[in-house]
Amino acid sequence: MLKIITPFLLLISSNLIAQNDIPEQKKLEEVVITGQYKPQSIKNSVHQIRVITKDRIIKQGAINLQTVLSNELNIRFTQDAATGGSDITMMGMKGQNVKILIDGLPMVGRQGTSNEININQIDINTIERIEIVEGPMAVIYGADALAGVINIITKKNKSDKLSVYARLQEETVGKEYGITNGIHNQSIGLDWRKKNWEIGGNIAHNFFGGWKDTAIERELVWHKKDQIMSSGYIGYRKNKFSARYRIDGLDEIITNPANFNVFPNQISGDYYAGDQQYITNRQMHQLQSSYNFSNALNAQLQSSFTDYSRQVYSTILSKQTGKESLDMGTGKQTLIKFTGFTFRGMVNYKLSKIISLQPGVDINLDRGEGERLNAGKNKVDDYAFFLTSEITPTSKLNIRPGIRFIKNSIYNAPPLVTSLNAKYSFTNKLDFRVSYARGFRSPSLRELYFNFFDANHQIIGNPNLKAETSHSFTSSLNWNKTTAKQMEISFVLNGFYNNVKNLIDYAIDAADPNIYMLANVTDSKTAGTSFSSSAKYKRWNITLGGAYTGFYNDFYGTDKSLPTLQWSPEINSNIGYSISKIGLDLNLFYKLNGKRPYYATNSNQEIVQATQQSYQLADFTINKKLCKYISLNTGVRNIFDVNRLTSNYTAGGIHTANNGRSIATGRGYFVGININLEKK
Amino acid sequence: MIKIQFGIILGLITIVLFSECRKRDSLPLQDNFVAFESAAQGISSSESSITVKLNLLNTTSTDLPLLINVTELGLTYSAQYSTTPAAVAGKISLIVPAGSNKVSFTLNKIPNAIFDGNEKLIFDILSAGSSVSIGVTKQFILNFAELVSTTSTATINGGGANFGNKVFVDISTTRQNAILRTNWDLSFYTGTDDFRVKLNSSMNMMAKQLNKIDLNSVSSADTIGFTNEVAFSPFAPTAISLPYIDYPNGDLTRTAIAAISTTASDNRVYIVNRGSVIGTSGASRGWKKIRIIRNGSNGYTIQYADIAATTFTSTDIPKDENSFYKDFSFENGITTIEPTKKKWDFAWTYFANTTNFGTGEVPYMFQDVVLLNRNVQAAKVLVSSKPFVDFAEADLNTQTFLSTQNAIATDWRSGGGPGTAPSVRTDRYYIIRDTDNNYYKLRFTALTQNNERGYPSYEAILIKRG
Repeated sequence: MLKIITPFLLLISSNLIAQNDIPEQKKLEEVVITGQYKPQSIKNSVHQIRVITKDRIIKQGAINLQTVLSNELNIRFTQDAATGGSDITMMGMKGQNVKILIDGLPMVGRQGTSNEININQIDINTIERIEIVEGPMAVIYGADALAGVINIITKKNKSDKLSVYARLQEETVGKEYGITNGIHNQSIGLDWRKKNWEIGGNIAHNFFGGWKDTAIERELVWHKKDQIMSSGYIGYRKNKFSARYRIDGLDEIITNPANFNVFPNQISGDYYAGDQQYITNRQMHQLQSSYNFSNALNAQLQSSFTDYSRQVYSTILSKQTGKESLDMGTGKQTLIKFTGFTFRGMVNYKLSKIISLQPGVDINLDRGEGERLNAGKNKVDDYAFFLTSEITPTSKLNIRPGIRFIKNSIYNAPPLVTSLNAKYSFTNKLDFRVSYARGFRSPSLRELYFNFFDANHQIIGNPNLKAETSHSFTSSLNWNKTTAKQMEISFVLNGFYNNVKNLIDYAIDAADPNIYMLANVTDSKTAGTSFSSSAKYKRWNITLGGAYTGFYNDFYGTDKSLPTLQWSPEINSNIGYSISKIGLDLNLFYKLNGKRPYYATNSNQEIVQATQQSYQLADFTINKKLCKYISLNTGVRNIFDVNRLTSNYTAGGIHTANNGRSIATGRGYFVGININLEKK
Repeated sequence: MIKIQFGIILGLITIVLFSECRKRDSLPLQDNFVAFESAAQGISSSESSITVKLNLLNTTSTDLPLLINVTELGLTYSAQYSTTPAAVAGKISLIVPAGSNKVSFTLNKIPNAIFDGNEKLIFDILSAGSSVSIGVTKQFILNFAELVSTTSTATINGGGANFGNKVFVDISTTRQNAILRTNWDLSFYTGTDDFRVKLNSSMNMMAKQLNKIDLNSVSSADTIGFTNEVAFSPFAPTAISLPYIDYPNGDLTRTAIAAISTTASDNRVYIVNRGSVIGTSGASRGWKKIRIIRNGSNGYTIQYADIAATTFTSTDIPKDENSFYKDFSFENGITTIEPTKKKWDFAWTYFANTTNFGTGEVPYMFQDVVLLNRNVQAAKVLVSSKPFVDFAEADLNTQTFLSTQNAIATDWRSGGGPGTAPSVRTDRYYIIRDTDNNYYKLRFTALTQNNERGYPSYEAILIKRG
């Protein structure tokens, strides 16, 4: 039996290992691993999982994850003008509720582990597929996934061979393109495997020259960004044992140039410009291994260690001499460091034909220090034990109850978290899934230990924060059919409802009105429904989906006569036409983010209805295989030329209101070349 | 073949494992410059000494020597004037100590020396230590008569990012007087028309009237429930606190403390929140209780004590019409803060202002507020209607002058927001009618010095002599 495992392992991520009862697979893409006991076909998974494949990423010519995910239902992005990063919204919830995993292990970002990961700091060239699960998944993956989990599965060679790949891509940023502006990306990598060993690595350089648009002189509307991302892995497997080490490195420099002062300095007579760079370094090490004791018993270990730092580096440029010098002003040179350690150990045990058990431990240790945090090393240690069980009384019914016990060194975590997933197959074409899960978002290191004092602002974290908790309900109905004429049709209907308690937000310290502190202040809700469908027939591949999402109205707390939820529609569609004979693929990716109503207060203290306008994102791409090893791609990005969104209302205040949300940099064009060499 | 493959693989892994992150930490420091604070000043016949200031662009890391040459026009050292430190063979040696960014020397008139008003001294920076270059204003001319500057430029010494100073500026003499804003608490109006007391508006101070007239009967119990209300909140200010500040336009009928009545029993006790210390700690300066009455010599008497005290101190505050206000500190009693009536035109300060966050007017502390003296007026001109360089005397009569103290306030700079730093507004300037009816066109040329807040610069050009 064990002999069967080996080939199957080739097509799965290492973090979960196959048992001997391997499902019959028609297509590799259909296999998912997030939250599974073993790699499963999407159809058999008890969770409703959306999969974005490498093939889809290549077809879109995407150079970052944002481009890909922007096209998905229930996911939206805005650009953070200050940091040059991008903020994700998923299922109507902010990015801190979206858990980003690499091969099942959590990432560390600017706010500490797993909170507000900048998704564009992940190298798209190393991705095999992306699995998106809506709902908390807290029993297995712990905190911070109130909206859902995005699990990024990295590439692996699927059979004994050497493959070397390289990619070059050039893009305009709106109308801007040149040596120092536009996008210039290069990457090269290889994967090799033979018998028991696999080894590989990749290095990528992504250059984004910033977006000038309406800015004058030296200023940019979007900051300039220069990324070097690298990865390497080594794996060994023999008989019942497998182990794999992987390292991912990020070195990102975001540059924010300023204009020269309008008037000369009175002392020197020179004109100065104060520039800033935000420098992020991250190294993530993972070690994953598994051992099969018997057909009914296997064990898996997953661990990761991440070192993260973000430096703010300020310089002063002299107009007269061109000399760049260090800015020694207060708060101009800062450094923040986080480290995160995760260990997860699980055992899969098949008790009988009907019942399987998966007990496990999950340990997460976070450390943080630096600017705007309490002095010294701040720690959060989290220990959890979880147990899930899969019950299959009949082949049609699959029930998965789960429970997690948590002990946290700092904050008041819910002592136990439960979930219940069930799947029922009416026929082999029609499946129904329903889930209830308790989710929680732990306060981030920053929320616990924030410390920012200047002449006018005093903001502090709160070590007494409780976790935000949620009750999350999802359900889905899937129908699919393959006809004799090789036509494949599928249809999915989804619904979700989230009720979040103890939302963490800023509040005034009861003891001192000069101090703003983080506190568990309010409750929130989101709900939504969506459908997606796809049809494949001969050369055509068409998907069509729609969603209707309810965003929580922040003013509901102060005025109960207002609606709790404010609804916004979405539509997405991909149309693909492929002529495999000549290796030509044409694709249109389309997404409509409908207009989004919200409430705000006007200058007369009245709560008024406002709207954020709708916008459409669309890319048209052409892929052409030149020969066996080389393919070209080209296309139009953002056909509808979206840049900023205006709202019909802007609130007053001390700091100048921003002139709308930044979404994209306008219509652009790209051309790229992919090289894939393979040797058996 | 296998060997080659292994070579490639090992090479790549080596690159990945041993490649170092790009670091950013080694740039030279900015070139440093030294210059006089102003190009010319006058010393009036009533003044016996003047301090001449020089500023560095950046603090120096080592003791920095400076040599100043003195050229006498109609004057003789020792006979009519001397300097501290003393000039030797017509040269003054100065040291800017390590860690500092300024230095000054003092010029003293010899007692009983006679001046005709046409004498001048010319100071030139001869040389400076090797780590510093000589900047724009390398010469300073001191006239031995009060001067009406035709051009006045200066960087205001606001005390840096914590806005530590209130700075009174006299445009016509290019002088500034920087005073630590914790040096006083109350200002008593000296005019004959009214009895009014202002809070120090450069602090986040508030005062609330109690329904008591016996100071000793007030205890900390009287502040219960008011600690949040009688205080500035940077995050959620409310209109409830509005009566506890002096209205920012300077209208004396809208002060937190009611007019001091001739009927002593009408003058109630106030509890005073002294705000927070200068700096980032935000520590409270505590509370005082006060009661102010009129005294028999047409002045004020203030009774004051700590909240829990059972005795109080009394201080008489006479009206003195040289200044608009007589200033008072709980620590030091009567103290001189605001220069005399004609010695300042505008002041730059951290300020107890009001704003609207969308829910009506609420108290809020503002940085970089420019306030006018009571006898000064200002008009705003947009560059689009008349460029700064073109504005001349003939344009004066089309301007609308305002005399409220907050006529300029923070109009001269934008507050910034996410992704944009606060900055000077270059699309506007102001016409100032000063205390001697001179008209100046005034523009602000910097919000910061070397990116540090609290050091704004201005340029003023005389349009019409008063």
